[in-house]
Order: sequence, then structure tokens, then C-alpha cells
Amino acid sequence: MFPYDAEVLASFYALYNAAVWPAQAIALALAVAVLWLGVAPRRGSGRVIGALLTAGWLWCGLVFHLYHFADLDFMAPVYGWVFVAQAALLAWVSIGRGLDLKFRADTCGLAGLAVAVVAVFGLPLISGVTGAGFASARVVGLAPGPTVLFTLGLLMLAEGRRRWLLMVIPLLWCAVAGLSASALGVVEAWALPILGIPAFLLCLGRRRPTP
Amino acid sequence: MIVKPWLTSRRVVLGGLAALPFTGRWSRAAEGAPITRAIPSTGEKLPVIGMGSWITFNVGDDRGLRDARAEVLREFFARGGKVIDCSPMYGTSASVIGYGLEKLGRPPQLFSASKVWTWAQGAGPAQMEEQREHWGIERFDLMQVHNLLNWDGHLATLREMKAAGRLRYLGITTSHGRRHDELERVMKREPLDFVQFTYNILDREAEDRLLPLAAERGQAVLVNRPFRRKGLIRRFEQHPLPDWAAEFDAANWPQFLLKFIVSHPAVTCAIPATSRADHMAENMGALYGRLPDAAFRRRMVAYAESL
Repeated sequence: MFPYDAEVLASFYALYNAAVWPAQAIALALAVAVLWLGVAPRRGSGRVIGALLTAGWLWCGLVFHLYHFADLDFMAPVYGWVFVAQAALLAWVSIGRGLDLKFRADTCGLAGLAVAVVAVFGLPLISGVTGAGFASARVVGLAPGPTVLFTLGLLMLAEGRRRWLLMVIPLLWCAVAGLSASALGVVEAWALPILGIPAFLLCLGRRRPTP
Repeated sequence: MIVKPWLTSRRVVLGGLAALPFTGRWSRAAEGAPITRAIPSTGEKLPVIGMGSWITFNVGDDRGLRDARAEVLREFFARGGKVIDCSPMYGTSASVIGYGLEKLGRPPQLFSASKVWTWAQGAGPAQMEEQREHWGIERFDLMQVHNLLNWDGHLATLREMKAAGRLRYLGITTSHGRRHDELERVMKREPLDFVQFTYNILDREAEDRLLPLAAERGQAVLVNRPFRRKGLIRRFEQHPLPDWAAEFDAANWPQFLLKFIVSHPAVTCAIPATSRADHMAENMGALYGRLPDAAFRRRMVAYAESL
């Protein structure tokens, strides 16, 4: 049960976006850089991407949930600490070997790239055209939904066992977003379960590259 | 042309009337005295329709939405309302209520009800004080333990506060029909002024034990979820209101549903929540006119269950 309605949520995002401006421009620029590094990885890309994802999850946990959203939703502190936990996992991976990013133009790789692009550009666009308006757009790195979807997309480009661990919390958040979409009728929230969960299943079936 | 009866008549008419100045005063004069029930522990009378604030008043810092909720409050008071119920669980609802009260010049008829909702007994006083500051009042009329959470500890605190004159009544709540067995044990054991639980035309479990027990123990009853949030309105509004509803002055489905609840003799006040002034006007219509008798109540249940 969510203690607010869709109109209030849109209003919240509009006020939040105004409060954190111009962080949106910085976040979008960094997200584009991450996409580029994800598709054309080079030495140290995994660590850089891991560090930027860590920063995004930390921001969503501390600034979004614990500082702003906690006024509106009694569950926000729980969500906030879950996001901080994911940030800690990402930091742990980044401090170690970093994300093992090897972009391959197979189904999983292309789907991952598409999911990440939708997270950066698609979700704000949906907000703009479905009535809530661009003022209340969800921006990657600053709002939970696109941050979760972006992370899932990038993890689909990665290899190694650690990516499965890193997918647990994003997948759980896709389920929360699905509940939110269903209960409140928030159109952009549907993108998470609709894209995130099939993308994960697609990755499960990915064949290992032959040496 | 398809006529949609649920979009005509009273909802539309009242929606328009709500926009007129002094509408509430006019309506009260036209509809007679509000129906009241006495709080058993003191005899103080309350109007049988109050107001909840779950979801509807949690609008954050948006000035436009806060002003809109202030208009809902204006309609509520203009039509004879007194009891407003809130909780720290409801996000910004308390501060939005406080904003509205301030904007309306702090209506003296307010009967303020809130809750304490925390596991730790020691955190209760600070939480209640924060709520009081949000409302901008000297003290709460009623403080309740929300959803039986650490009820034993919090009731001890509330008894001390009541003895010190820092609140007038104390109570305990549950909702959605949960934990009725435990609530019943507390009602039997503790000297409570108020209890709050769910009761509506389709959720009538409370008729078996809780409502008779409240009457026996002299406990006032606040009823939450009178419409299952919006569920019952959505379910019934596609069907015609029966002609015989006019015999107890129910002009629309909200009034039909509310009059069923408050016609139970053990009910003190139902607390529907709404974010719209026109819907508030509809709800408050149930505060006036006749109430259904036992025979009508049986007929109401049969009709509702047949739909």
C-alpha cells in the first residue's frame, strides 16, 4: 500500500527536481559517458562504471529516499538503506576487479544496451508525454527507477558471477515498481518490470563465449 | 445517448454548490441539525461523520495541492464536521492538516485525533509532540495507539498524558479487519475512551463481537475504511441507488454507505477520507436527515450483497 497517489508523486518529483537542479545535467552527461564506456570498454572501464553506479545508488539511497522521500512515504527509510546496501555491493566490486564489461553484439548485449538507453532517455520521455510533464521526469542517478533499470542494462553487458549478486536488489526493485505502477497507474514505473525482468531472463540463457 | 446516473444529480450539483461562498452554512440550515452521538466516557457529543486523512492529505510541499486540501477542510467544517483523524504513518498529512487549519483561522469546533505509531515506548512522546506541532494545536483531543503497535507501553504513556491534561481521550486502533482477537482482549482489559476499526456494509465482522463489546464497555467507536478506500463506491456506483434510500435521506451511494455504518447504535463516528471538496460535500450529507432502522439495514445489506 502506497500512502500517496500518482498526482502527489508527480508533484513530489517536480519539487525534487527543482531542489537538486542542475544535478540532472551532470547525471545525464555521466550516464552517456558510462554508456560509451560500456559499449567500448577500455582499461579501467569496469572500475569507473562501478564507481559511478555506486555514486548513483548512494545518491538515491541517501538524498532521494532518506532525505526527500521519507517525508512522503514511511517505507522510504527502508528503501533508502536497501539502496545504500546496493551501493556498498557495487563499491566492493569496483574496489576489487571492477565490473567485467565485455560488450558483445548478441541478443543479451543488445538488449542490455537498449535497456540502459531507455533508462537514460526513455523514462524522462515517458514522463513528458504521459501527462506528468518533464518537470517531474525521473533522471538516472537521481531517481530510483531509471537508476535501477540503467544498472540492470549495464550488468547485462558484464560477465562473471558477481553480476548475478548485483542484480538481486535491482530485480526486487522492479517488483516494487510493478506494484507501484499497478496501484497508482504510474506509466513509467511499468518500464521496470516490463523491461528489467525479461532482460534478466534473457541473460540467464546467454551462452558463454567460446575461447 | 447513454445516461450515466452516477455522473448526474447530486455529485454534480454539490460539486457546483461547493464552489459557492457560504454553501455549507446554507446547506446546514436547509438540512436541519446534524446527527450526533455521545462519547460514552463523558457524554460529549460528536457529529457522526468525521474525516480521515490516509493518502488524501499526504500531498507533500506542493502549495496548490495544500490549498486544495484546505478547501476540503473548509467544506468539512462548513457542513458541520468536527472529528479529523490522522497518524504519523500518513507522511505529510499532519502538516497539511495544520496548514489547512491555519488557513481557515483555526476552527474552534475541531476535534483532533491522531495516533502514536512506533515500536519504542520511549519514542512515543516525541512523535506525538511532533504531530501536535504539525497540527498547530495546544493538545490533541484524542490520541490512539496505531494498529496495536506496542499498545501496552503506549497506553501507559497515554494514561499519564491524560492525567496531566495533555490529551482528553485515549484509544486504540486497527484496520482492514486485522487482529480483532487481540483488539477484543485489549477492549476487555483496558479502560479505553475510543476504539477504531473497520466496519462497512460488506465488512461486518465487527457486528459480532467488537461493536457489542464497545457498547458494553462504554467505548466510543470510530469507523475507518467505510468505503474500503474507493472500492465500494466504484463497485456500487454503476448500479442505481434504490428508491427506498430516500426514506432515510440517502441521496447517493456515499450517503447510503455512511448511513448504514452510523445507524449502528454502537458507532460514534465514521471517518471517510477524500481529497475533493465535492466528495466531502456528498459525505457530509450523511450527517443530516433520517437514519435507516433495523429493517432498512437488513434490506441495505441484502441489496449491496446482490450487486
